[in-house]
Amino acid sequence: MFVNYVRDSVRSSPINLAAGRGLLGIWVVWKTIWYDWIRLVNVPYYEISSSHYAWAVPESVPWLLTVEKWLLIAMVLLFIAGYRIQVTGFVSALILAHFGVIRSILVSSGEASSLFIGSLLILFFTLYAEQDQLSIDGVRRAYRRPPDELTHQIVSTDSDRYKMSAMQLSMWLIAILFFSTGFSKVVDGNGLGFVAPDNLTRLVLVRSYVYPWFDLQLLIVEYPILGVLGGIGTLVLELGLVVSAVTGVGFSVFVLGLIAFTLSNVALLGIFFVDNLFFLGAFFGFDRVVQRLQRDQQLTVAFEPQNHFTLLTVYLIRLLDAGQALTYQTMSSHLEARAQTDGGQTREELNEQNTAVRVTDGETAYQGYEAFVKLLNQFVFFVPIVWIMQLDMIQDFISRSAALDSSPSTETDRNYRQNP
Amino acid sequence: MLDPQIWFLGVMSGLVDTLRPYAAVVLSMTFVWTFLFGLAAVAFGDRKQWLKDGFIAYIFIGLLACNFVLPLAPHPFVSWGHFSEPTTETVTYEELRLVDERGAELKYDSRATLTFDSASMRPVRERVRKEAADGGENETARALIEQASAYRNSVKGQSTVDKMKFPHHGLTSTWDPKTLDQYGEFVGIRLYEMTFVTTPDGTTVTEYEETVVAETFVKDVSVEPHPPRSMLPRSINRSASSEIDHSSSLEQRYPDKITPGMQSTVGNDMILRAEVRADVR
Repeated sequence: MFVNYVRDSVRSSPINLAAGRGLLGIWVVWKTIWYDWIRLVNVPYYEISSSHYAWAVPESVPWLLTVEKWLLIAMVLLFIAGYRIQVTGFVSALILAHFGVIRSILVSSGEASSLFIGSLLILFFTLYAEQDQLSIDGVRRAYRRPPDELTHQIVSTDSDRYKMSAMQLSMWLIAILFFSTGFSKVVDGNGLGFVAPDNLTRLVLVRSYVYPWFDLQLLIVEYPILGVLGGIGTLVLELGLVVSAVTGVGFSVFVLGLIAFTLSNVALLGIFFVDNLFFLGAFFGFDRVVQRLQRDQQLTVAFEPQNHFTLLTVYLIRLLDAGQALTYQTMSSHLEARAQTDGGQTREELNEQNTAVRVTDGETAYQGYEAFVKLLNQFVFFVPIVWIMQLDMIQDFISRSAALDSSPSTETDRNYRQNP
Repeated sequence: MLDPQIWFLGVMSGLVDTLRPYAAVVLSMTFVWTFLFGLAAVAFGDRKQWLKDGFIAYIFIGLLACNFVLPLAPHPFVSWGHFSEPTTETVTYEELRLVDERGAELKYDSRATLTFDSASMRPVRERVRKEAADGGENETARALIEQASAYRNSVKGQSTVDKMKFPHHGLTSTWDPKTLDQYGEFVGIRLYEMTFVTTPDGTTVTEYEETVVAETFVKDVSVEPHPPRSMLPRSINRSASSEIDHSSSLEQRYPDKITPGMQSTVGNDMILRAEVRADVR
């Protein structure tokens, strides 16, 4: 369910890296877009100047922070899309850390420290931006590559290898932090003081008066054994995540356990460390879900490498093809093979339609526009796009604009569509 | 023989003490240096692998040092320690309570500090305490009352947009319109120190004591001191009904579980609760 990048940071598709980047970006936007910096800087409760980090607060021009906030949002949105990750990622990380410094002056909880964690994770993605293929940067790089090279990568049957150093470093960071919090419980508690039967019971009992919350927490007071078990569970999960990451034993169980632990803090203490859910969620096996959402049919995709649009589209499909369920061929080798197996028909006869992309599912061959529809339809999450593409209105529009275009390939496409 | 752990901690705290006068410079430089190093690693790391490796090593060595060696974590490094100190039989907490014109008290909602965004209450309380000790204008306390009165109106007019906001870290002691309806205008604020003495097994509070450490009222208002509480109510928000008429909120929540004639006061809330539980079982 969760991917252990510490053991193996190479995946057969680039999906997880893009998903991790996206999740992190969404978290930053959701968390920081609400910050009201003018109010924050003007509160009379604090003497910001007494902080060691007073320089971080532009007290005379507080609106600068609002400008900075919207710059951060813009940068993060571009980071999510994967546009110039080195620039947008670095600027995002820097502003996020700056915000972390200012919020830490006013807020001491994990809510502020998570801004620094986010900043470091974004820096990791930025440092290894060149590994990020499923991004605007990745497509731009692919666009600049010689068609032969890209074609070779598409048709290659060796299983793909996408290294994700950013995910590996992020996982180390999170695992070390969890180990540290478990470690501090052991050191401060002189061993097992934290799991002593009275400790969590008392913590919950007194908090139930000072920070009243739902009655559920009183179960621990009534059955202290639950507190002991909970305490042991907490230590095992916090200390064990890094051990599990290194040894590879029960990794998903540990991550799920820590998610459950984060949620149990909501029920028992009324403390909601939402940020943790995003940090842990980034390690989810998104590529396996994409694989599941792929239709179970064997398609062969033949494409014309000289047509740049087709080449890039097929390249993107190949990146999303986590299960490597499709077979990719260049148009010439495909027609060669078909001419041999079909017999009777020559390459020229097969090539009569002269389209840039041809998708076959064993029996039927789809060409041009319909081939793209068929290709996108392979992925369940493209259903809305496929639906729009299949609307009569859109199809008419496409064939009309194809008619205006005098290039021979689109012309024959149109003929094909009218007389299939 | 000197315990190596104590020796080590001694050296580390000695180091921190030595650097303390330069703390602002050292801490700030750590931040600036980290991002300059990061910028170099991002900009030139593709050509000079050692820069990238060096930066990664720096981040992780720094992280390990802040978490396992140094007693503090300069930004942007992070150290996580949550509820690691074991509890003791006697526990002391502090809290701020607003006072309305009838003398009813309501725990301060930290979200009032920044209107739906909260600042940490500990430094706020420290300031209130310090200002009271100095005997001045109690500027912080006055600002808190003003802020609370303004925030109160925003709670009533909370929009769907407010509900889409990033969830709060702390979910307890938050005001809702129903709670606020039970209060008149806030005219003062009190800082309480609350001491709980618990049994060795931590399951029962045997003694509770609270004292007012500081109080501030808006001008020309006099409010009777709050009668001493023998125990705090345990209802969410500690609503006005439990504050004002001293009836436990249990009756409202388990009306059919309260036997007729049962005397309910804030003080025996715990006994009541146990009986309700027994009945439910």
